[in-house]
Parts: sequence; C-alpha cells; structure tokens
Amino acid sequence: MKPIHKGLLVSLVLAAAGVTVWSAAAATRTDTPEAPPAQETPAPGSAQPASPRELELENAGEPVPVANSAVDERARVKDLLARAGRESDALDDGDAEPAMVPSDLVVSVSESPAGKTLKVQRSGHLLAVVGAGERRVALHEITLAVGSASASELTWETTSPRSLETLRGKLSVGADGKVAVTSVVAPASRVTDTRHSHNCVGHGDGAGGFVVVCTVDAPAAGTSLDGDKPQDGVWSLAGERTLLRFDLPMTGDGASARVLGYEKGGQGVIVRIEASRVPGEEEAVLAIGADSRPQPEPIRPRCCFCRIPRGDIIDF
Amino acid sequence: MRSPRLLAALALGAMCFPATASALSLPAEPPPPHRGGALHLDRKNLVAYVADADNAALHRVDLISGDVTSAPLDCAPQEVVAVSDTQLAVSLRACGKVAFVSVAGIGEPIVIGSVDVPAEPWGLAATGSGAVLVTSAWGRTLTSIDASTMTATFALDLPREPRGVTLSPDSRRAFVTHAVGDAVSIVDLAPDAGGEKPAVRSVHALKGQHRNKVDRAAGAGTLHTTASLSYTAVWNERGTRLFVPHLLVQNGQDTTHFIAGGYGGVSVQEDTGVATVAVIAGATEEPLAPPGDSTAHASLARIHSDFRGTPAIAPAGSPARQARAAAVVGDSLLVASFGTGELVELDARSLDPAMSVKRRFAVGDGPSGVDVDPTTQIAVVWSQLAHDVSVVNLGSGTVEKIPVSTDPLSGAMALGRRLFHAEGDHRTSRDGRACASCHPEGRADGLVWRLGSGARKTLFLAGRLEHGPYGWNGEHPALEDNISETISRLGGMGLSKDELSALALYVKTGLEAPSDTTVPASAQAMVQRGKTVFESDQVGCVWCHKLDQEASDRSLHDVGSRSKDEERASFRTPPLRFVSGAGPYFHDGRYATLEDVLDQNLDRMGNTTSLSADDRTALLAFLRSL
Repeated sequence: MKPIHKGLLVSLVLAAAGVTVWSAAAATRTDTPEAPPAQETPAPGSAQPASPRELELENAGEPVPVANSAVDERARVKDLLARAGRESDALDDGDAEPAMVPSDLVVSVSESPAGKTLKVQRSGHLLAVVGAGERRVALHEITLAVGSASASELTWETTSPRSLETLRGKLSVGADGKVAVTSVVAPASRVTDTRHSHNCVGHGDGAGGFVVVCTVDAPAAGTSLDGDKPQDGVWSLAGERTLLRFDLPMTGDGASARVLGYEKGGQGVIVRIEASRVPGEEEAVLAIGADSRPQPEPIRPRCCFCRIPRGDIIDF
Repeated sequence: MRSPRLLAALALGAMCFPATASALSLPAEPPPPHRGGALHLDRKNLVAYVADADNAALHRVDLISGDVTSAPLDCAPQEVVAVSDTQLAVSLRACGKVAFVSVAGIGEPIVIGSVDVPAEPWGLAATGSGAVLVTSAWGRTLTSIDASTMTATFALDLPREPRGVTLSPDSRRAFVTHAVGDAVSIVDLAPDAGGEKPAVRSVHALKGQHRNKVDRAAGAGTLHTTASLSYTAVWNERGTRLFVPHLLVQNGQDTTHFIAGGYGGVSVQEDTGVATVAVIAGATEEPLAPPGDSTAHASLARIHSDFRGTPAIAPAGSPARQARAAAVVGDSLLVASFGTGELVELDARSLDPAMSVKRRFAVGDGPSGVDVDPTTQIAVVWSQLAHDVSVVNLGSGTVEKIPVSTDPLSGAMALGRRLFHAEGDHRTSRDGRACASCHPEGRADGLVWRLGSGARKTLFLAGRLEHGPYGWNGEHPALEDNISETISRLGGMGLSKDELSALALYVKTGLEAPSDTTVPASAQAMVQRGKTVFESDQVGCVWCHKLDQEASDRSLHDVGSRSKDEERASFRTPPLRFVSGAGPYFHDGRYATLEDVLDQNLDRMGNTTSLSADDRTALLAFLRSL
C-alpha cells in the first residue's frame, strides 16, 4: 500500500472543519467571496463570533496538524464548529430584536372634507409606506390619502441612504383619526453586494417578497423585467451618485427581477436583482449578482424612472 | 489502513451534518444525487470511482491514501453511476454496452456483466429501485436496464445527440439533455394512465428567456435564439429546481455586430455564444424567468452611450464552457468546465446562475465528472485530459490533485486534443470559442452561421476527413490549410505550424466517429434496396457520392445551390458518411431533413423525382445507415 497521501489528508481534515465555515457562510455571506460579510450585531450577551473570513484564514494559515492526535483534532474541529454555530445563530435572519421606533419619525393625520391624509416624515431618509393597495416611496416625507373611515394597517420603512440601514414597522389609522405606530422587527440583511461602484442591500419585505436598496457612485438607471411596465417596483434618485430602491413583492410561485445598469471608468456594470420561488419551496429566495464588461463609449447620464421627488436632495 | 486522524475528522463531519442540513434547509426526504458525469463519489468511504476513457478503465481512487486500483473495461467508458452501495454501472461509449461493476470491499472493481445498448451509450441515472437509465448519443435512445438481471426492459427514441440524464426526485420523470438544440427531453416513466408506456416530450426550455431580457435591458444588441452543448442536468438539494448548463447561441443573420470606433478605432465583435444555465422548475417544467414582454424593457438600464445607436457589450456570463458535469451543494452550483480546466462555482439562487460566478477552481485539464460530499464539504473532480482527480476543499478553497493514470496519446495527438477543446484561446478565435464549441465530439451543433462568406452550417468532422481536398469549395489540399483559414475567419491570431499539424492530426484521426452504424436485422432488406437505388444508373447518386471515399468524390459540382449572395456556384461534394447526424443540409443549412433534400432536389443531384414511394423510403433508410 502506498504511504498516506498527506496533502489530501490535510485537505480532508480541513474540509471537515470547513463544513462549519461553509454553513455559517451560507447563511450570511455575500454574493461574492471578496465582498465583506453582512454587517450584523450579535445578540446581546453572546460571544463575538469569528467571521467566516477569519475562520477561513485561520484554517488556511495553521500549520499542518499531521502529528496531532485524533483527540486534539476533534477538540479543534469542535471548537470551530461551536464558534461558527454561534455566528450562525446570531446572524439568523428574522431573529433580530425588535427595534425602537426612531424618535425622529413623525406620523400625523390631517382631516379634510375629502378624507384623512396620512403624513409620514423622517428627514434625511428614504421612506416607504406599503399597504391598502398603495406603495409609496419618497425622500423625507410621504403623504397618503387613507380614506374617511379607514382602519388600514400599513407598513412603514425608513432607509438611511448612507448606511442603507432599514427600519420597519406598522402603523394604523383609526376611524377616529388616531394613528398607532409600532416597530416590528428590523429587517435583517439577507443579501448584500458591494462590488464595482455599487452597494446593494436586500432584505425580506415581511410579506414574502424583498426590498433592495442600492447606492451607486455613478449615474445609473434601473428597470423592472416583469410584465410590461418597466417602472414597476423601481424608484431612483439620479445624479452623480444614484440612490435606488427596488421592490420585489412575491405573492406566489414565479420569478421577479430588476436590473440596474451603470458605467464607470470604461466598465459597464449590470446588477441583477432576482427573487424566485418554485412549487415545493416554502419561501422565495433573493439573489443579487453583478457582471461587468469594458464598454467602448461613456454613458450619458439619464434617469429612466426618477420617481423619488428631487426637491431637497440629501447628501448621501 | 486509514489514518485515525482522518477517521476522526470524518466522524466529526458526520456529527456536524445535522447542523449543516438545518442551515441549508435540506428536505426531509432523501435528496437527489449531487453528482454528474464520469465520477462517482462513495461518500461513506471517501473513494472516487472514475471512468477513464483514454485508458478504457474504471479506477478506484482512495482519497485518503491516494491509492488507485483499476479494472479494465472492454472499451472507452463515458459515465459512471452507483446502482447500489456495492454496484456501479458504466456506460461504454465506444462499444455500445453498459457494464456492471462490483465494488464490494477495498480491492479493485470487478466487471460482473454487461448489456448491449444502442450506439454510444453516454449518460446514466439510477432509479434507486434497481433500474438504470442510459442515453445513447448516436443511437438516439433512452434504454432502461434492470440491474439485477442485467437485461434491457425498454428503449425509447429520443431527439438527436442526447447526452446527460437525471431523474426527478420521485423517479417518475427522466430529464435528458442534448448536445444539439434548445430542448430538454422529458420522459414520463410512470404515466398515470394505466398500461401506457413511458413517453417522451420535448420542452424548449433552453432559449435564454432571462438572459435575453437582461441583455435587452442593458442595451446590448444581442438576441440569443437557440442553444447547444447541453451535456448535463442536476437538481438543487430540495429537488425543486433543475439546472441545465448549456451554450446560448446567437446565429443567423445577426451573428455579429460591430461597435464603431470602439477600443481606439478597432471594431469590437459581440460574442455570439454565452455559457448559461437554465433553471427549470421541476413541478411546472418551465424555465424560471420574469413574466412579460421583454421588448418593453429595451435599453432602460442601458450601460452605454446612445450615440449613433451604438449597442452595449453584454456581460460575458459564466466562464464554464463545455460543461460536462455539475453538482450542487447548498446554494452553490458547481460546473465542470471541460474547455477551461476549471470547476466553476455559481450562485444556485439566481435565475441564471451563469451570470453569478462565485469562485473558480483550477483543476486538471478536461474535467468531465464532479461529485460532492456535503458532510466534508469537498468536491471531487475527474479530469480526463490531465488524468487526475482534484479534491476541492469548498471551505478553504484549496485544491489537491491525485495522479490517477497516464495519457496514452502521443504528444502531438494530446496537443491537438487540447487545442480542439481549449476555450479562451484567442489564437484559435477572436472571442475565444473552441473548435469543440461548435463541433461537440467532432460532430455538428446543427447550427448555421454567418462568418464572412455567407451562411454556412457547422460541419460534421468525425470520421469524414480522411480524404481531401477540404473546404466548401475544395480550395485546400491540406487539412492544415483549411483549419488555418477557419481560424482566420473566426478572428483568431493563428497557430504555429506544429500546433496546426497537431490539431489536424487530432481532427483527422483522433475524433471518435460514431462507433456503431449496424443496421438492425429488421431493416436490412430496406437498406439493401436503398443501396441498390443509390447505386443505380437511373438515379445516379453514386456518381458523385463514391461509397469508398466517405461517400464523396471530393470534386466540385454546380447543382444550382448557390444563394444570391454567394460568389461561387460550385461546391465540393459533401461526404454522406454519418449524414443522418449531420443536418441541416446543404452548405447553408437550407434543408432541415433528408426528406426535405429529396423533396426539393428537382433532379439536380441524381434523378430522384421519379422514385416510387417505396424506393424513396428505401433510399432514405440507406442514407441513414451510412
């Protein structure tokens, strides 16, 4: 019999440890290996987990443990397992603590003969109000007619254009005009993509679909690939930098996709934002991918769907 | 004896598997196989079994010790699949058999029997209940074999050039891929209606529905209308999505477009073929793509200037070319890229995973089989041209290689084979396409291209190049000259003299011609009658199609086939050997079938209009036997 194949042995040993790395990475990692892991805050009181990259480096850099005993190796792998398991738990989507309603979020209702008008304000943020057949997106504030006798429950979201941190909650307007605002769960980031000159963060919309918010360090344009209305689910604020929000509601099986395109430094970049669910799957999955190619000519800035009001543009 | 440390590591791997399964949301029922192609991984013992076509052997590769033991096979194998823990099935492409191999114990595998099947058995799938399905590439069939008795239970006709086969998780349907065309064949193995035989359906799912929408939105001037090179299909872990890697093709009138003034005044030619992956919903058999009309989204996310209507350059897509095998682990689709010597990791959550490349692992040349072990998170790859097994650690990204066998080919032949399959080599084409991109296994992709001299169909090469001259107009006495002219037409920078000689040697003598054109006994009388018609003075086919020279006199003839944009009217008599697999017909592919050729012949090539119906049928049968 040939001698033990030491290189393979090491590979397999590391692979056995690597399963934990992969598990953690699969639950949290970004679409690209070079992109940083999703920014998350560990649960209070939990140990600071090692990041998948740290674990990988640790694995790759350690001396070859050919002389260690099986017991030592067992302990080492178990330690890796435990650390990755803690991380996996901490980053599990949907387990985040309920966030507080931000103190600068102002919700008010005014009445007129035409009915009630809801106003949601948070300066310097991208706002969204969804529900009762409406889907409104704007900077700083949103006004929305809610009818004369509505007790509708709506979902509000605010996104910081700088950090892309999103907070979400519910609000309801009673027949007496009183408004109740609650914070539900801060949506955990499911997918991030930070390649090239864009930064996209996607998360569940709480109703089976997804919301993706992107900033692009270049003029950019986005479009829906669904149906025959390219502006559906696309909002952008174009300029030298571009802020975009893509909504991908999923009401059943099927696919929904948005595309973001821009050019910078002679490279054309296409970002694809895709949600899909097929029969037999409990929930939809979100994927964000990007690809680039040298382009022969520069882009002339154009905004396809500048549906975010341009007044009082914020710096982001 | 194995290393106790490794056993400990594997035990820990097994311990952690439940956590892994939870993290990846594995279904409660057993997942479908993770593997594909010429390698099967015994996950329990970490032993790889590889089908080595060059050495006509099945190798047992112990991943722990690196030991290799081999069992000789009757001829070159193609794929291997596990029938049970102790038995494998191997498709023997070169001799029309499926061999059954005992792998009990740690000794060398032992061939325990074989079953004859139609010509060129290729893809394999095992049902789990003791049946093995095998595709026959040249024989165009799907055969079911009872592994316990080693007898064929049924055979179904399939469309042209079938390759891979995979079963749905409930084993009620088989999905067959094809090297030619944009369809996946779906075989209902257990029809609901009692007593009905299994039936074959074609689903045109490889039409780039999503990719074309993305390109249109980006303002690219591409429209990929058809497909080829679909070698394999693999399910995701839940068994809900079927991934089918293939080549998405833009051919015909708009094969190329040029970006005026691009890149310092050098015109840029758009890629005409992009490697892509169709995602098919298992329940509905529909490809995943956003609904609606793609024309509504044209250029709305464009990445280019609209100066003079210049189109953008579409993103290239996956580097995985000639994807011979694939496997899935978690959210990763691993594709063996035969043409680039890589294992390419794609995002399995995407609508077109080919556009979401995660990582690329350099493995040996010509990867043709991959299997994964979710527990230890390794992918194991067999590389036919390098004759080694690569163990890819998906956690760390490291790749370890185990030499398995040696290359029996001569240096020139081996070089020619590498050149024929090498993708991304700009010496052979401007866009890096390999010879094998259009000539899979030396056959034809069934497509018609516009490459500077009018429409030209892809030629069937294997077994048809013994005699010159070469070229549509017989302009090249030497094959090397014809290859050189083709490379020039494709925009390649050119090969050295030695490389040209090696490539010519391989395409002339190294490509595997269809191994078996034996006429079934039931058809022999009809074929013989057709031969009599073919050779008769009244019909006169044989005047130009000399049967002793691949059915061609290699001379130029004007048979009135010139198109209005053609410069020349005379074309070299095409060889008729293997003509049944060489369609479409005529230099510009104007006729889809041999029936069309006869219907439209108008006595330009032999006097066929006066044939009786029976003689016509017999002539067609004879042509298909060549």
